Amino acid sequence: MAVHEYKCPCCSGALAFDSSVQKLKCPFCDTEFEVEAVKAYDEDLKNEGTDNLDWDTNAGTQWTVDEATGLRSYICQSCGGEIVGDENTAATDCPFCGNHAIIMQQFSGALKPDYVIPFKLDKEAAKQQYKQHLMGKFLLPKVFKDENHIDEIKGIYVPFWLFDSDADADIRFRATRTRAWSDSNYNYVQTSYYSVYRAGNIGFDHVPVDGSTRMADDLMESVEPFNFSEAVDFQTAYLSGYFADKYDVSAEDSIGRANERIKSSTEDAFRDTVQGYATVTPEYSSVRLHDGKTKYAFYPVWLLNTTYKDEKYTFAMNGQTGKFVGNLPTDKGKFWRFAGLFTAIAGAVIYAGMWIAQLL
Amino acid sequence: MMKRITAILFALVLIFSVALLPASAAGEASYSYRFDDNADLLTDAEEQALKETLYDVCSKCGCNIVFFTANDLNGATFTHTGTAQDYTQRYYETCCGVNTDGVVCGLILRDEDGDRQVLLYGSGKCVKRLSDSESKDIRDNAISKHNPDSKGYYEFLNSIALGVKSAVPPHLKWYMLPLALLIGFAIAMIIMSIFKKQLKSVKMERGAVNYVRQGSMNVTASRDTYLYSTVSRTARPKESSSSGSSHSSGGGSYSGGGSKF
Repeated sequence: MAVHEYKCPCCSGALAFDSSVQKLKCPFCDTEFEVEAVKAYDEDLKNEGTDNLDWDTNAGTQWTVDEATGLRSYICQSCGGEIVGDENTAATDCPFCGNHAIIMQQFSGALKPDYVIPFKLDKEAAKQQYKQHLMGKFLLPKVFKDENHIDEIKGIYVPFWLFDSDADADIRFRATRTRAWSDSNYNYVQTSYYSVYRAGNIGFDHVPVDGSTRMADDLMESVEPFNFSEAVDFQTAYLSGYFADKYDVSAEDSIGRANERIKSSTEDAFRDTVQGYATVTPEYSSVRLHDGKTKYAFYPVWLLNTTYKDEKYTFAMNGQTGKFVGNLPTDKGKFWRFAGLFTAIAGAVIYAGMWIAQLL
Repeated sequence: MMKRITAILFALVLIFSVALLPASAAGEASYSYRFDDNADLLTDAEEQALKETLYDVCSKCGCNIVFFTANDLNGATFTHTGTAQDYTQRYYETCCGVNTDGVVCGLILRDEDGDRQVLLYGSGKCVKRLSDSESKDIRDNAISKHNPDSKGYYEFLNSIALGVKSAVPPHLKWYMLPLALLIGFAIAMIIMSIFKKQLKSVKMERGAVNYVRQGSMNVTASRDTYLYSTVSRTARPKESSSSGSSHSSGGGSYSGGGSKF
């Protein structure tokens, strides 16, 4: 299978997309290029006719059927090394020369993403946000914070399905109002019950649903929101220097999650129009979607991995907004020490209060 | 976050410290004790011995202690409604004032019904410390175990004084400490859960509120229909202390009661 890399017009090194300047940059000669210019240059190079550097070799054994269905091997166009990826790998690094390789076949035909939000934040920003993420966490183990090591940082373009839709809604709530008064002997509370009906419509644009099983859904939803106004038409040049997977969850399989989110927000939006009641409880809702459209996009995410006590911790940073998330371990010893201390302090204060109540 | 928690705990300590000031100030107030044997039931030596006991009770309890005996409800220098209860309460107020902290015990040989009656009341902070049931227990114990008909009035009144000495000083029930620790543990768990929540930042989004198309929401129908009403009624709490009922027949508030025997 063919891999593609954008070559530097100056030194022929493999170009990488630099998120800080939003250009392709040569890591060897530091020359910067506009994406469009490199793309045009790349087209010219293709027209020149290229050498055929592929060759067959009988070395090695054949992949088994199971391996063959899950693995793909590609030839690095810089060094000729074999890059082994899986069926979803769309952009990666050559393990031999480190050059950035893009698996063009993953973007052919119907699989080509419609949009991409380019990385705006670089690896240093991810490291910085990681340090920030560890600050002010009282129960974070000191060892974890002090070692502060990261096993791996990867910039990944994650495949997302984007759902656009208009929603018609009919929603009925049961609401109550209360009125209280007293006479000399009794306190009275009058509760009045209402049936509150709302109907209308609301539109949603670009509701994202993670299209990769390799990315935890909760992790990907936690780094939201992404600002779609900064999305551009997909070009493989943006992937250079980053990893990318093609989707392995189909749009059809993602519809359920999109529906859940749209229905929930639709109900919340109409619930907010019900004012002046003490309680409002949904009784019935019907949400009907129409004019639904689906787009396929790559969103930028920095993934950081670390291990602590043989457990793997994964953090994610939105490569566009810098929002950083990731669950952290708990220092259980510290938890119970301070729980005991707070119990003693609060217990002593309460006991003292009981004594004071006796004295007063 | 740690600073906030520390500040909350500090504020709690400060509030209780401030609350303690009036209590300690109250502790410094001077209280008196007295025994008026108007019915002349005790010998001088018994009277002296009882006064020593009352002095001890007054010091231990930190309140006024008034014990008196009376033949009947006549000849009082104060006005009363003619009941033994009112007589005893006005007697205390004449000696110590209205709603001052103290305990009064009256032994009246002929009350409004011609019966012999012993009355034991708490006033001021002693309304809480001497509950109705505690007053009754002390009276019943004196009547059953130290009956004046067989053991004399000194032992009878002395047993009441000793009962007051054990009941009235500030005291907490045995389960208060475990209860305080249990509540403290619940508070500690709330604080720790706040700390623990800091470590969790990964969760599924509930909706898609960030992706609502601006200005796209349009309410086409809106109806609020009244269905029905219900009215619930609860009795208003009467003014009472937390550890004993408080009652009065015209002057201050008292706990306790009287027993005929």
